[in-house]
Amino acid sequence: MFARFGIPSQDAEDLLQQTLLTFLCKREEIRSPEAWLMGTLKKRCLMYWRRRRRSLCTAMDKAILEQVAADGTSIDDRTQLRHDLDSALRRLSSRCRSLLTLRYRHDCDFPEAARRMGYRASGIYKITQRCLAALTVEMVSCGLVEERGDA
Amino acid sequence: MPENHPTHELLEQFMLGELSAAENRNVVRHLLSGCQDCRRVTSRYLPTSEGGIAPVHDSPWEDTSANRETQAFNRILSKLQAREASLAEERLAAPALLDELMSHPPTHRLLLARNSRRYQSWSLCELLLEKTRVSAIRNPGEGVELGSLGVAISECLDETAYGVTLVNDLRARAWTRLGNAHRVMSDLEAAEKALEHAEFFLADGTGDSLEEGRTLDIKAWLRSDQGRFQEAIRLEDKAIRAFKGIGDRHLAGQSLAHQATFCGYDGDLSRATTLLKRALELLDPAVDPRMVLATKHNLVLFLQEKGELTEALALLHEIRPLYDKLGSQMDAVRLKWVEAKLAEGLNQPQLAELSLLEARKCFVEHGIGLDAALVSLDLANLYLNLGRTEEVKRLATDMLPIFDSRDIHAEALAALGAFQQAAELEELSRELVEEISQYLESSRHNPKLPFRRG
Repeated sequence: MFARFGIPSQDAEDLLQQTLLTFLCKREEIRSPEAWLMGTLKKRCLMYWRRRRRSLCTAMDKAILEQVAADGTSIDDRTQLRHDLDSALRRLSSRCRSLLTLRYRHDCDFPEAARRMGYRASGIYKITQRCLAALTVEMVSCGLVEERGDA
Repeated sequence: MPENHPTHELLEQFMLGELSAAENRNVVRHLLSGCQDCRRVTSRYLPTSEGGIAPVHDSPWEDTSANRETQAFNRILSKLQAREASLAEERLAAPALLDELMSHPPTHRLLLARNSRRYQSWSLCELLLEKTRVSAIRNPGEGVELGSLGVAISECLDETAYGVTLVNDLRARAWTRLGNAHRVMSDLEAAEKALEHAEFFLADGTGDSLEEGRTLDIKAWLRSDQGRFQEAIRLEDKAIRAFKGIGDRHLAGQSLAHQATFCGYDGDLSRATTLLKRALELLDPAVDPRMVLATKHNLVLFLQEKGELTEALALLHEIRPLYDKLGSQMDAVRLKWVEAKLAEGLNQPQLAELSLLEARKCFVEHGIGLDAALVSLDLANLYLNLGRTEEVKRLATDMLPIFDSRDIHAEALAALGAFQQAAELEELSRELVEEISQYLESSRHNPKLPFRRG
């Protein structure tokens, strides 16, 4: 199962250990131990990659925010950064483009972005996660991308 | 072509979350430039919903020397053995510890739970949560108190000792049990907040579908109490999938039975009866015989409402011995009520009347006002059908004891008041009786639901 999901071996050992420890604590309630173990292991493998995706999106978002906020860069570099960022955002849906433009170009945090776009504050988290995921996929995938020439 | 490409290794490490913030920035800046060469590398490691790719340098789990695998299993085994030993000790001590905690006055219990490590044990918490589950049905006020205690203990459990994801599972369970206790007490707002907490902890738990399914099931009941039946039905779909995913047919059957109830409330009797029949294929009478009885009872009711009286009667004959064996006194009264409905459907008004009067008397004696009111409305319908208007008026007068029952809330009083008034003025109709009956059922766990005469 770990090979099927591509789980690195060190993490596979952790996943198996955690699942077996969970089984130990809850075994009196578990009616079909084998089905529970297989079902739970599969779910943990899926959760592993879900968490990895989320971490990647968070790292991407943080890195972009830091780039945008960085002092001491030249005007040329800042202009190039803006151009590259706009180019990446152009490939997203209009909703994501608007949301992330507010975030990266207008320094809006999520509640503020929600307010400006007319979303409920409680709903903005999921939308943001989807948009960050879309941007991440756009930036790390191979596809029809305008590659800028050297300055 | 952009210069200064990150190395293949650096790109892999970025995708696996192994770089520092400064290194991340450099890689991201390069990727933003649109470098296709580097994106070809990163795209290989993009995790999908089906999984991902292990790093190149990783030796896959399956492709190792026997020695490496053996070492891994030995490490796991030794941890399991240590945990099993400490759990066994805890489980032995838990009942006495619970008795000790409960011997203190209620105001002290929470303080002790939060401040004394003695009570901060996994097994004690589990035991307490099981008591909460049972109390929520028999004594809802006590259920809230025990649930709060369970939540307090779960919040103090040592995450290092037990593992943070496992502790989060127990926290989710604690909040779910507390939420259900609040729901049964008709405090739907508190129930909603408790279930939000439960979902928060589930998201960072072990991914155990047993916990997930249970929380979904309770949330479905909450939605039903709020009159949001379609949402309740969808939540049970998820619960059923969760239980089936871990091979628990009985719990999947239970969720199907609950889903059927919501369909019934929503007026979809066909789907309700289909779901109940499917539920009965999965429920295990050895695990919970009363659940099987309740499911068959509901099936009789729905078949009767659909007008499928022959099938309903046949099923009732089949399950009558189960009431004698498993049922409580109130179950016997509810059986009488079902028999009355069937008798009316089969054009046996005398038998129907006798059974309804008997059922109503029992409910009134036990202070179960809402069911007594509903039986009274069934009687009113019967008398209206037979043209016995004087008896309808007498019925309205005889309702006074019901008004004093503790489970009759203000809006229900208004509904019964409308019934009384219409009966006295000889303006009562079957439609009005049906409307008031439906309102009382809907407001059973939602006393804030306003009664509006249509």
